[in-house]
Amino acid sequence: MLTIFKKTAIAIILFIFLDRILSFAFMHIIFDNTISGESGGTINYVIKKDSHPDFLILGASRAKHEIDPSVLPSLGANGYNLGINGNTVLTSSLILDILLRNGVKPKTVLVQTDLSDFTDDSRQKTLDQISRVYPYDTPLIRSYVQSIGAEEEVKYFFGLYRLNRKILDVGYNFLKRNSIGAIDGFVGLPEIAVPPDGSWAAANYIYEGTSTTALALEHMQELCNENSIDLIVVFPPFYNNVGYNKTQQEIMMNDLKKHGLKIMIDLSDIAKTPGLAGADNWRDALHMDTAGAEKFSIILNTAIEKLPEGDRNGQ
Amino acid sequence: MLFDSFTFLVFFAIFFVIYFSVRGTLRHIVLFVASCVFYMWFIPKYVLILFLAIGIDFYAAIRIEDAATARGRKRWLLIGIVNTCALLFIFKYYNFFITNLNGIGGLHIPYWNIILPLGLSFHTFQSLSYVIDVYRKKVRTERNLLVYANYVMMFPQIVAGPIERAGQLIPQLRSLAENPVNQSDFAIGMTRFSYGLFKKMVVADNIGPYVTAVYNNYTHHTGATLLVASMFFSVQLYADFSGYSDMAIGIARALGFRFNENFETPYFARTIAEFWRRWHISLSSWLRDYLYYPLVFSFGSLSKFAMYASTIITFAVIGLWHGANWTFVIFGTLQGIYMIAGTVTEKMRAKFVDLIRLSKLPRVHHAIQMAIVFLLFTFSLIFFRASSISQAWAIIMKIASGISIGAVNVLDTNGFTIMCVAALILFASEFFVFRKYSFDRIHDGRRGGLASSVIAITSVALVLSLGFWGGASFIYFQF
Repeated sequence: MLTIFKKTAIAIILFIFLDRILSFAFMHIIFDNTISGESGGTINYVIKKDSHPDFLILGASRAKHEIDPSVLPSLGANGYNLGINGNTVLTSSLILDILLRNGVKPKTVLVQTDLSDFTDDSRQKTLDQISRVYPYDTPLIRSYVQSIGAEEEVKYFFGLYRLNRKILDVGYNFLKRNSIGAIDGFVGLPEIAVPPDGSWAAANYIYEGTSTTALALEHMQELCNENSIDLIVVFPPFYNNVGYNKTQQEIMMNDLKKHGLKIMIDLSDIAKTPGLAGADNWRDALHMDTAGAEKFSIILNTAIEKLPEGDRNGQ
Repeated sequence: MLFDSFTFLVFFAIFFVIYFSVRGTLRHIVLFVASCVFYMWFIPKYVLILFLAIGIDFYAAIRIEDAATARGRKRWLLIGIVNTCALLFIFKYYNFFITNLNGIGGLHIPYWNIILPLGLSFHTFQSLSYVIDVYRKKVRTERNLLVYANYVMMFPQIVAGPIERAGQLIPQLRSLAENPVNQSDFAIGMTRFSYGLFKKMVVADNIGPYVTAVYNNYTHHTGATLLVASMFFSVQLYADFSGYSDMAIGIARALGFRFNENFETPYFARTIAEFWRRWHISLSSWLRDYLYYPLVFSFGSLSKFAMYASTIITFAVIGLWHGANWTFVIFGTLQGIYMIAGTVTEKMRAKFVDLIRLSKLPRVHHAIQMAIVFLLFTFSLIFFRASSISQAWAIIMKIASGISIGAVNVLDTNGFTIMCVAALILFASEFFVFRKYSFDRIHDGRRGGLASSVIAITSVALVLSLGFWGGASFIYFQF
């Protein structure tokens, strides 16, 4: 039996060695030189592009497809939309941490979020979110990995696991890296003839003030305070208010203020943006089409212009 | 406890050390306790059902051997079979039976709200084969309850097979006490386990979400998307089940046990008959020995009708074995129809191949044959995967209404790419390596240790880098 243990131990050590070599090579030769795609490429692009942008937009697909940096002059001329499909504020806070550690220091961070981000505090949801930024290895990511449990810590130990399901995507984007032109990250969605489905509702949403996402947003505010960055939290509307829950939205807004959030622009109720109520502004119930996004970005710019001067960190 | 979970790795490491540290009866006890823990991890109280099945067949087999008359032997055989089948009927087929009875007779007999015990179809078939083999005097009755209990519920195969025969496994269990630690068995077993892990986590689990998303919203998808999803389901099912079998056989091998093969690269079969000799071998051979042959002989003559009728009945039972739903019966019956059609048209097809001179291009001919078998099986799997006959029919109609490659909805580009790459790696490894060489042959060959290590390390590396870590259950656990 001793032989089995010895050989098993040797095999494990060899595997760890191989894992380190493969992941190191992939990270340094391919990943670090990939500047597009949602597996870390867009984050690399911002890191390489400009260490002092006027503003950065973080959030999910509703940020990526709905907020056009070129229509936000109130925040400056040099901005980038770093919205990534499926992200919550937890991932946004991790991305901000990665950017700051890599010397990127914007004047303003505009983060899009929704009530739904704060309604599911399951371990699986947290894991889904943090694993999105796994190729990066920061103390903040590690602290979340620790909170998930020993199993995740063991897996995270392996470099190949940190690249899990990203290798092909990153590899493809690496190959087409020379064809990336000047971009600001905004991706408008073409309009469709079919009206969006507005049948589902947010009636069952219940805001959880102690959720990992709420605490992540609080941490994001602290990071911004430490680095003299203005943090603006934006809640965009939904078609036909399908994702809007008035009572829970109010509870959330009050609670987030207690969490230390300074600037929040709540446009989640479609009644506040009547110009966007028509189906012709929407690709689906969650996402505006390009025309809707341009209108929304203008509305957002006006709302930012109206913010009291004292609310900003004053850079 | 799933083989592909962290919990299982810890469980197995602890078990392995204890198992090889003890000898004699204690080793049987360690294996039995470990099997109980493994099974009870899902729903603890269902182990009692398992104990009941073990008790019935253990006792029935002893009475069969001890019976003084042929009538007595037959009576105890029937008691064993009826009681074991009753368990299967109550837990698996009762609600199905009631649904049909209510439907036909306009009755309102209440349903029984119960969850199917894991692997019930597998261990009841294993128990049945034991009782029948004792009756046929093919195996000696096992009078040590611990040995028999381990035969039925040994943890690598308790949930989803392979369905081991008593003649194969019980002698190995009898010599378990003296079984020495074997480094070669451990290496082969772990290599096979790693490859099974790759099949399950990289191939099956990456495909699963796509197939589920398409089938759950089949009304919103084009015929092309449904065809692609159906073809991927064939790959998923194979990778999921054969992956489980590889893991089960691998774990057993690491402990020194030899299990029978359950799959032999079935998608490279050139006829449906050959396919079923290579797909879920432990089930198809079980039904051949305990149902098909007795059925053929029960017709009194070896006529074509006897063989065709027996084929249809046997495959319908294979379908029903999978689940209590008419969709499974259709799936099974289709296999029977394919088999008969294959036999009836054999000469005609051979003439046609000669006529178009395809016989002069054997490789092309074989590739076409493999593709046809794959497509026929994929077609039958639409019934297997669909939740109802009407859903399956709607999917078939959509596919039949026209296919355009440009109309395929990949849903998630990255996920779809991973699926395709994973399936390609699987088929390439099966075609170039495992179609020709077994794990034993690789290990025992020149530089076999290195080759085995490369397979194991590559599999684990692929699991880490491309695997879907969502903790998806095995498809065959529901059977």
